[in-house]
Amino acid sequence: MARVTFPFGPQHPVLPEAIQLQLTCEDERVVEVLPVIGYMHRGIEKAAERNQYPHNVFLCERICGICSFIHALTYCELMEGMMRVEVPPRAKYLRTAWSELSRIHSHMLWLGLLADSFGFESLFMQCWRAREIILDILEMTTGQRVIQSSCTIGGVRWDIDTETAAEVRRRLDNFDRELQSVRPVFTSDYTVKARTVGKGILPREQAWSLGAVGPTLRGSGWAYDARTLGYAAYGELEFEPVVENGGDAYARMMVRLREVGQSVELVRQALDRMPAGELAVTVKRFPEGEGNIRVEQPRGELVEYARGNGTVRLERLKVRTPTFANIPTLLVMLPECEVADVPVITLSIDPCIACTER
Amino acid sequence: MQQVPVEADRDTVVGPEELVPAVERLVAAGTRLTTMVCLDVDPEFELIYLFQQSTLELVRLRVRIGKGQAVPSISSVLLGAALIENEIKEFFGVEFTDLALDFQCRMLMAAGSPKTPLLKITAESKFGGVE
Repeated sequence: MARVTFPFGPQHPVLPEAIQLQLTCEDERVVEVLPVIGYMHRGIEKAAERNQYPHNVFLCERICGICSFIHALTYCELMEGMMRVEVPPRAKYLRTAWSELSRIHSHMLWLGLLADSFGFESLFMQCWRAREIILDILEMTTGQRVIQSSCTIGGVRWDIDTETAAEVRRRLDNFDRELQSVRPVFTSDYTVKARTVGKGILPREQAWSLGAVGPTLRGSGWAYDARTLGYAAYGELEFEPVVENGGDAYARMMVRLREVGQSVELVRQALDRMPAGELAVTVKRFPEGEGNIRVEQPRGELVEYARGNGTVRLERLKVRTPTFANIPTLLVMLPECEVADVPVITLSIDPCIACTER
Repeated sequence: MQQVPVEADRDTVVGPEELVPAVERLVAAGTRLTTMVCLDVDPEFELIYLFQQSTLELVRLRVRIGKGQAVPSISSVLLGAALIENEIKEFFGVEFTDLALDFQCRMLMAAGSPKTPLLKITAESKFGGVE
């Protein structure tokens, strides 16, 4: 059988962003794959060296339009750690609540895209309708649906008062009902299982050695979740990493589906336990020395490294996003699959190329 | 648990020739690569290899090389390192020997893009120095 190499992407109906997979196939079977990126690099790390360090909060949250809050949180916690700034407890809980709301809407977006990738349009619409409830909560509590700008070095910019918190809980109950209505479709529907079970298997050992993170790693049996490091208020809340052992697209989907429910519970915990007090402290220092931080984004572990020299500008800011770590896993997942399964398997790592290229 | 600082006893400086054996030892002990950071500390590059254990503990290796000097790629030990090494090659001009997957400095930037954009701009690099 002659081998044929052809491009999958960068423009493709199932790809939300531009990435190309150079697929080498024998008939309908994929034998080799080479991921090609480079369509949307924005030079964010270079820009971070030129900005004054407090302004990088706004830069970092523009790395991604889905997990923008968590990008800002990561940078703020890194700077606070380097300058030994103690954030008020209330701000830590607010950060946690907004982080988990970001995770819910990211996962619901992905679940909808997955359904769309195999033509399950009604499921796609149900997921995105439920996601609107979360975006409304973000708008109600921060004024913005996409780029919240609610995190700042030293704390947060806005509060969630008692009345608003009650409304958030009421809307979360509505969301929970929507989630319960779609959950059985994902767990048991014939079409969903036929397109995901046994597809794109990532064995446990290779998941670790290739550097997989987030649901891609936890779907291969690793209980590895950076939230257990205890940043923000995670150290004071009860949760366990969600783990599935199948290693296939179905397992990765199940991790995200279960994490949505977990995140709803974490938002409730954060609102219930949030202490009264200040929202932020004034920071009048400059970062010096070096530091690194790991934070759990919806797609996995985000790693940032910074080096400061005691001035208002950083010498270096390095951002390692989760999709950058997950792309090598496609080299294992895609070979031997059918061409028709490439979209679902590629989506199963929840690729965010804007994050990856920065 | 480590977040911002890394304890000094988990931060080791190695020479370029000791790098691959040191990585092999870490991998054999169940550690994996998280990321690599390149710093332009004129007249050298400092490469920081950030590893993590399944318990989330971090371990760092540091390598210092002169500009123009090549460093061995660790992609033969950890394939996931290839993308990171390609990025460093593209942004800083660091040469890696035996790179498993070489995008020829076209992984993130186009042919007409600025070369090695993350190198520090100094008076010498900008104006060629003063006689």
